Amino acid sequence: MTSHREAPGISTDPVADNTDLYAFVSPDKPSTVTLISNFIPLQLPPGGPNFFSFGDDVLYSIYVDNNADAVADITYDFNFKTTVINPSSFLYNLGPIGSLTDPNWNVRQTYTVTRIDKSGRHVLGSNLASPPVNIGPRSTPNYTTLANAAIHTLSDGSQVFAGQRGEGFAVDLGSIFDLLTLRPFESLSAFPGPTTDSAQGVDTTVDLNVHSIALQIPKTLLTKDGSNPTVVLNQTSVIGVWSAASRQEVSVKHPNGGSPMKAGPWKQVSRLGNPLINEIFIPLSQKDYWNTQQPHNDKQFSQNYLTSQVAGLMPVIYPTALSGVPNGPANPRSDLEAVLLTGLPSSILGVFQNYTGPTLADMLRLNMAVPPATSPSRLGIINNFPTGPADIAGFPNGRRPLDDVIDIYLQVAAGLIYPLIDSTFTPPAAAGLLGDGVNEPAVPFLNSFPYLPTPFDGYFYDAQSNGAPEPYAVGSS
Amino acid sequence: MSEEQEDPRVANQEPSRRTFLKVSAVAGATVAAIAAGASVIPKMAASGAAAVKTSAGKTETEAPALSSHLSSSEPMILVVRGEAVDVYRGENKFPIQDSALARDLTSRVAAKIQV
Repeated sequence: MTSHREAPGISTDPVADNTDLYAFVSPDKPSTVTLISNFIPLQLPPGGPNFFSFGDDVLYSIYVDNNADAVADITYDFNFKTTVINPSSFLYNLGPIGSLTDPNWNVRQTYTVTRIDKSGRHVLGSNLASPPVNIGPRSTPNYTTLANAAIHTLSDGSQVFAGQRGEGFAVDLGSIFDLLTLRPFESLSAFPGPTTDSAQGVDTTVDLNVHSIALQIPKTLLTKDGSNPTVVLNQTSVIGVWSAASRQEVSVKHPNGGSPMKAGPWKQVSRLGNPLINEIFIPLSQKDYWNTQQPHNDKQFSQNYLTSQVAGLMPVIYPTALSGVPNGPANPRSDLEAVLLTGLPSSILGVFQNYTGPTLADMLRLNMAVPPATSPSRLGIINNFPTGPADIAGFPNGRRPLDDVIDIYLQVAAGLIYPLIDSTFTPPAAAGLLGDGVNEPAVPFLNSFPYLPTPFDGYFYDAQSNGAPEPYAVGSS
Repeated sequence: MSEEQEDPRVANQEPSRRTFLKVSAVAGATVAAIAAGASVIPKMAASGAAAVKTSAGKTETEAPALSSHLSSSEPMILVVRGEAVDVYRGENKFPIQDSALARDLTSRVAAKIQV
């Protein structure tokens, strides 16, 4: 998955596990940018009685670099607090939850948003309510109303939402983790197994939820000089974004089951910029370490991009279709380095750039001067490459929920855009066709903030349905 | 941010000896966790992760003086490793390099619990 359970350490700490990060110009409010950072992967909707929630002992952060040095100029910190109204009960709710102040709601969570920038620390909002999780038609009968009530306006005019959402990242996990099988091409695999070559993959995350922290921020609050970015080729139009979760350095368990004693400075235990970096570029021996590092130190990992393990495996697994995938010393993957560690300079595509200088750093790079696409393509900039039309409002120009980063990564790893750095190279013919057969989530995204779907509820969850139509309350928030 | 780098080759190693001994609290406020020879906590401290978060996570500022925290009701955790004593209170960490203090703490604790 993009960063779900991607490292040994964080796979045992789901509350702090940063799973997906999105950064895009808001399609319905183009004067703003939306940043969404997801945590707590693979939530089974019926997961009571102690339903999923943010960690009171975790510091969640979203970072923005606006002067191209891969060091945070703006930090948004999120601190959560859980309150149990009736600790004598074992129930999450004692009746239907009709509002965010309903006395039936027993286990609640509130949070504080703090912005840290060159002018200091600013608490933008406190005691902000997260919505309850989506339990079922009796407990949370009007879930969309509850979720809408949990969209708050901060003191600087930004909007915030923090709570459960439906998983928007669609992927055929079962197939990919079975020796990198792609169902549409499985007859070409070097390993024996089914050979149905089904064009349709299996959306493994179709009924699962995550917890999202979403911000919708005026662009003028993100640029280094407070200007409104309008010129695509100006460096000041580009921001770098990453997010992280941190825990205090020391934790001592309470001998009688009370809250553990925490002390010491916050230590980063999970981070995320571009999707799939720690997942498929970083070897097992370095994954936990990578999670502790800052983007401006990412030069130490550059060899994992120049010689990509996935690119190296492709001709092994698909010897007939992908024998010509570039990799290694003869064909170092400078294309991956450019896309993922520096951004694309204007010399590559001419009409677009998201270059942030020579510092190698894993950040989502968003050129805020690019307006939202009127007909967005799930393949973003590589749509119908090289003839196009490229959708420069999509990944790797930031990342929208609809961007199919699995298929984009597969095609780029197979060498699709390698001719941009080596005009004599001809990619394998199959490169532009690769995909897992899952192009979009079964449930549509919302048209407005916070964009990710209404969470799936526990009552209607059907472990066998795998995406079959069900009466989920999806409506537009 | 801290520029300190942790050797990735040892990042996942378990401490050779993890003997946390929890000893008496003073009025419920002080707990000393003595980790004789433990390596896990100092190793975490040496990582390049976000430490004391200040201006946009850019720089790690020095923690305020411990004396300003002595009246705090928050528990204080001491970790003794070799000749170093790390003091944790609230969100702060106070590293003390003092072999005499480390030896004194270790021997006093050992005497209390008859190790």
